[in-house]
Amino acid sequence: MLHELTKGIIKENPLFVQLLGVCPSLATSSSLENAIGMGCAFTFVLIFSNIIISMIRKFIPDQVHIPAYIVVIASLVTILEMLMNAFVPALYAALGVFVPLIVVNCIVLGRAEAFACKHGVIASALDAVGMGIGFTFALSLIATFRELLGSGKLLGHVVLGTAYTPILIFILPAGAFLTMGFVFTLVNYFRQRGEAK
Amino acid sequence: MGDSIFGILFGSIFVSNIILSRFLGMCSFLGVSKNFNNSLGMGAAVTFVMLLATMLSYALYHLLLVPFNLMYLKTLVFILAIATLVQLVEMFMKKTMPALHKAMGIYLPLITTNCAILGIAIINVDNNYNFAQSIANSIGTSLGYTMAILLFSCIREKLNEDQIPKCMRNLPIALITAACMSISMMGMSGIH
Amino acid sequence: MSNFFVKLTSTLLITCAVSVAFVAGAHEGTKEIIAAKREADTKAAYKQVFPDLGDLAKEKAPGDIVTDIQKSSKGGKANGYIYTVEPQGYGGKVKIMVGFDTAKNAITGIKVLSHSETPGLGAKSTEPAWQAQFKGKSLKDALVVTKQDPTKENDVRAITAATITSRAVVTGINAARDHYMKNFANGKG
Repeated sequence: MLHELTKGIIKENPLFVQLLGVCPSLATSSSLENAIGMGCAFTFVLIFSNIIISMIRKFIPDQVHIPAYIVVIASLVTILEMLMNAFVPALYAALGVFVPLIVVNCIVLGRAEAFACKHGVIASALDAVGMGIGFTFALSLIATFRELLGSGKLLGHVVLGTAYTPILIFILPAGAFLTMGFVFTLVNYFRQRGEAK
Repeated sequence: MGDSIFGILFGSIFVSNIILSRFLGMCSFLGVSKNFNNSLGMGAAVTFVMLLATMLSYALYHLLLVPFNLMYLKTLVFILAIATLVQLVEMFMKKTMPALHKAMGIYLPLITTNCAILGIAIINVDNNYNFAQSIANSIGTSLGYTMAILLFSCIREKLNEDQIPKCMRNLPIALITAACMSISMMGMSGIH
Repeated sequence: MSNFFVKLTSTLLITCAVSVAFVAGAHEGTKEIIAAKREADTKAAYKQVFPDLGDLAKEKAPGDIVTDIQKSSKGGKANGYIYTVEPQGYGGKVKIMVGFDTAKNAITGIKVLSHSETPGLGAKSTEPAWQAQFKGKSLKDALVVTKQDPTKENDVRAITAATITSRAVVTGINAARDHYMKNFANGKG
């Protein structure tokens, strides 16, 4: 059972290993705060969608399972939008269009298809928690590099001191591609070294 | 000039290019751009569906959701409309234009989960665009998408022949290439 | 066959109905909190740009750059006006709130509400340190952006490497100033 929880964090990390959810991780990683916010919002949707889909999996005929899942996920995202707008409006404004776009995030539908529709409620919930943590971890890692190099701060606090001139490019769109490119290079490097052994 | 039709068109192709500065539609962008012909097919399919989806979502939002004060259901309604639309287009194409279906068909199912389509429908509504502005935005965006994916696929075809360190092959080098393209697009901002 | 289709359609319909019911419930539950929060935020912004806030009344705004005007009055007499302006910046529209004092014909404060400027450059316009220089500026002359140290009363120091954003903010404030001088200054209101 514990395996369902831990596999999403490193071994089957949704971003680094499965290469899913690239769009939001590029767009919302310009600061660590946004990245953690996005990770939590995403985990919220994933946990509930996995639980609900695992509960209704036996009642949905196979031919219409995709539209039914999309309806469930879209409703969860809409509810999330309202909750965020009510309780964390600043974060909601910062993430912008990427909150409603969790609907078409490949990870959520992917986990529903690959896991929740075949497993029980508890296993599906654990799977979602693991994947959520894995995604948030990957996102935060990229955001840490970008915010630290691009503004010399972390979570809004000055870390690198006033003598450091921020390399602006890292918080601009181009920096998102660049950072992600190098992070993936590192991930590949360690994976290939691991395989060679 | 910001809200004029030309301003929106120019802005959505270059300044806020959907891929290189808004990061929508990345999955298909990285997945299909390995060769030029596939990229052309994907670009055409996105252009076609995006135009239809914009018109449909505009009509649904202003004729159905606004009169009944149900604006909060927009995400749900739009994604269902897009999923249905893609299915219908595929069936219609298969019957009436088999040649086109053969060329474009395999890309259509990928489009339902392409966040660019849903993204543009939501951005149009969030910016309070009228019908003409929405159409201009969707045409500009899809042209920008096609341009980016075509240029990118040309570079990637050449990259495959180069000696690249093993750990940088495929995705990492593609992302770094995209970074360079994104830098060149930054030169366009501030024009409007 | 037909039975099968009935089953498919009804499952989808039930899924939709249940989902929409939940969404509608969440909407009912949160809409008042959202509205209250938004009102509190606007109120706080008014207070920030115009500390001596009295009773507010909406005035008709011309619409192009100036999108909202609020008249503040104390004891039945207007003591200030709060303008919301949306000039074109570098990456899109910049939304700014600015307060004017009717007694002194001077700016009481500005606040950048929303923008899509470059992070680290134009986005510095949201920093209080930059916004503070507007406080107390007289409305006698239109404001001018300068890249050097300000020498004259109506000079505004530009943000380094973000002159377009600085100019946009000043353009917006000048548009509000023009409207104010024409319609409300010197007891016209």
